[in-house]
Amino acid sequence: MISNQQDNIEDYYIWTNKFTKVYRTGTKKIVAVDGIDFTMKSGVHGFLGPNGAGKTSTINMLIGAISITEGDAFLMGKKAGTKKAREFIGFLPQDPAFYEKLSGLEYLIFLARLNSIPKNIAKQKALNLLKFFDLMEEKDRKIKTYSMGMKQKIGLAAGLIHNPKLLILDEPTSNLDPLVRKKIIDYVRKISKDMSIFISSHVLSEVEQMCDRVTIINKGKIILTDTVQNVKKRFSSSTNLYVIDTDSNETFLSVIKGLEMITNAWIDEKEKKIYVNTNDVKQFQKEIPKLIIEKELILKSFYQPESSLQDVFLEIINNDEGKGIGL
Amino acid sequence: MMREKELGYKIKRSEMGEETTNNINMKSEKSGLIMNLTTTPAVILFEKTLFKDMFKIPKVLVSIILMIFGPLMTILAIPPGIEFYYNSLNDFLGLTFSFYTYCMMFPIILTVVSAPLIAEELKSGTMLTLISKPISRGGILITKYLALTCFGFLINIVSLSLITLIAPLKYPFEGVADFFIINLLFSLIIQFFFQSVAFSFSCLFKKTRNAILMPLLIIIVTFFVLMMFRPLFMYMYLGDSEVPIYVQFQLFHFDLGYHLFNAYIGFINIISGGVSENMMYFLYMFGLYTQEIDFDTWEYTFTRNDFYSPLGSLIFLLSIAIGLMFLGYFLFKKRDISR
Repeated sequence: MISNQQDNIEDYYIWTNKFTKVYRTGTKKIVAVDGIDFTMKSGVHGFLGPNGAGKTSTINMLIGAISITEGDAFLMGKKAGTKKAREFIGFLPQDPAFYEKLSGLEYLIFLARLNSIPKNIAKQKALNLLKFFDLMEEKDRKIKTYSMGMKQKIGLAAGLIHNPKLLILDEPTSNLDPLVRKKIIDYVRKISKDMSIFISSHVLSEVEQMCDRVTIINKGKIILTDTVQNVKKRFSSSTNLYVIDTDSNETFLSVIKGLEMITNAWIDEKEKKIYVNTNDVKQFQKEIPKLIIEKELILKSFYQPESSLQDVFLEIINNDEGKGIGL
Repeated sequence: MMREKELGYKIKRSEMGEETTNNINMKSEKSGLIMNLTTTPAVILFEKTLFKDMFKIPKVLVSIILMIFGPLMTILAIPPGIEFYYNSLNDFLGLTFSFYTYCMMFPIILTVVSAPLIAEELKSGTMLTLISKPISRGGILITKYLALTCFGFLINIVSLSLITLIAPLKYPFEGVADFFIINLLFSLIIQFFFQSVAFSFSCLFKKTRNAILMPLLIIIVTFFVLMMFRPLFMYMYLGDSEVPIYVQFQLFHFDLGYHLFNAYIGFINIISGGVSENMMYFLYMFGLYTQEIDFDTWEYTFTRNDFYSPLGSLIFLLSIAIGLMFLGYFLFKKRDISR
């Protein structure tokens, strides 16, 4: 994966090698993370996988919360889990817990000071972040009185308080209502201009909005790592699905349905456009315009739709498991 | 304003505190030892644990009231104009103070205060946030342990001082300073032992309830159950044995009460020069003396059971406390922490 590993390890925000976590309960062994190798350079990197895929275990090993059974990981060249590595990272756990008796401001100051920031500067930074996350009015209220959305925002602020180089977010939008989800995504997008972010999630539409690259994990194993665009391209070109829109879609559907090169054709109920699967792309691209002219129809659009990350993800996971899964 | 529009994204950086980061670097360069100390994560955690979690006025007040209640009642119960055969304050109040305050209330308070220190953070999930910060697990434990030590020492010194000041107002006791020093030294052993036990159990369990249960069980067995059964073991003989069960099976090795009060005798010997007969009546309940009664004259004689020297008992207690702390530290360091 890395041609000259030792020389370049510091260039990577995350670098793992045969990273493994095995939980032992009595005589039972559960392999949560199965010797994964992946790297992350700057930008926003999504870590996708269904529930129980090993995302949280991987993150917890990276921050040093749980022991590494086998392999290594480095964060910006520093061994994962060490004090030095933790100096550069901000972390928002899944379902974050707070010192609920502290106010939002006190909590942020406390966490800033744990990162060796002097008190007066910590206060200024905390106030800046509270302002940034629209929490100024609630700054003196105890965290236990905060709503879930406010707690998630204060959790994000806590991760940012020491200006980390890498922000690790574990399912940052889980358990939130759609409005708050959108807000959190907006904040993450804003923050992503200033630092690199590693986000684990199983909410694909959100990852698509936030990430440049993704790593997909299933059953503790990495399935692929690539840019979001490449992943989508790679899979949409393999599906041979086309969309046609004319002034009379019903008429045109009856015309093309009998053709040999068409494997499946239907009108989408929502978009009212014709969706066609073909087994001969070249012939299909030649014939369709001809048929439109022949039938004196007006062609409004003819294109290959881009798969959403959701489609790609489902297909990858299904291929990996050899059967359908319910997400 | 124009510049702000041009640098829209940089303004956001400063909103999030980038400018202040530069200030940190500048200040750190200027700073000396004090600045380094006040920005050390361990010191910050110590400050938070001590002042935000422990030093709550109701908690401190209740602890002190519980500590002094028994001895205070004993002092207030002295009838006016009475004259004691023993005028020493330790002879009069030593039993109440060492047993009620230091064997019951103080260990219970230390257990209740120390049990949540680690267990509660593990259960609530705040430990995950804490360990993602640049502070080692050992640092977290030491910091919390030190905060607990400060809390225990404060409530102890205030309680002891209050009683030492109030008692002479009611009766002109002698040996007030001796009473203060003997009990202070004894309390330090009690504090170190019980806070180490409770703290190590806090590292072992995820639920505060479980962390409290074990030390509480030790307190109940040592100071309640054994108080009833120890005299039985000391006067019961099995078969043809010439020594009582307590000695035959060498139960004193495992008798925490014996070791604690053996150390207590050591302090009395050093400070006051010897144990008075009045104290022997009390100390024999902990297996430190064997009581013999001459039924003709109804005279009591006490024989010292020196199975261990006071220093030996002290080392024994310290070894257990340190051993448990290492066990707690080792298990906490290896522990997987997650939500």
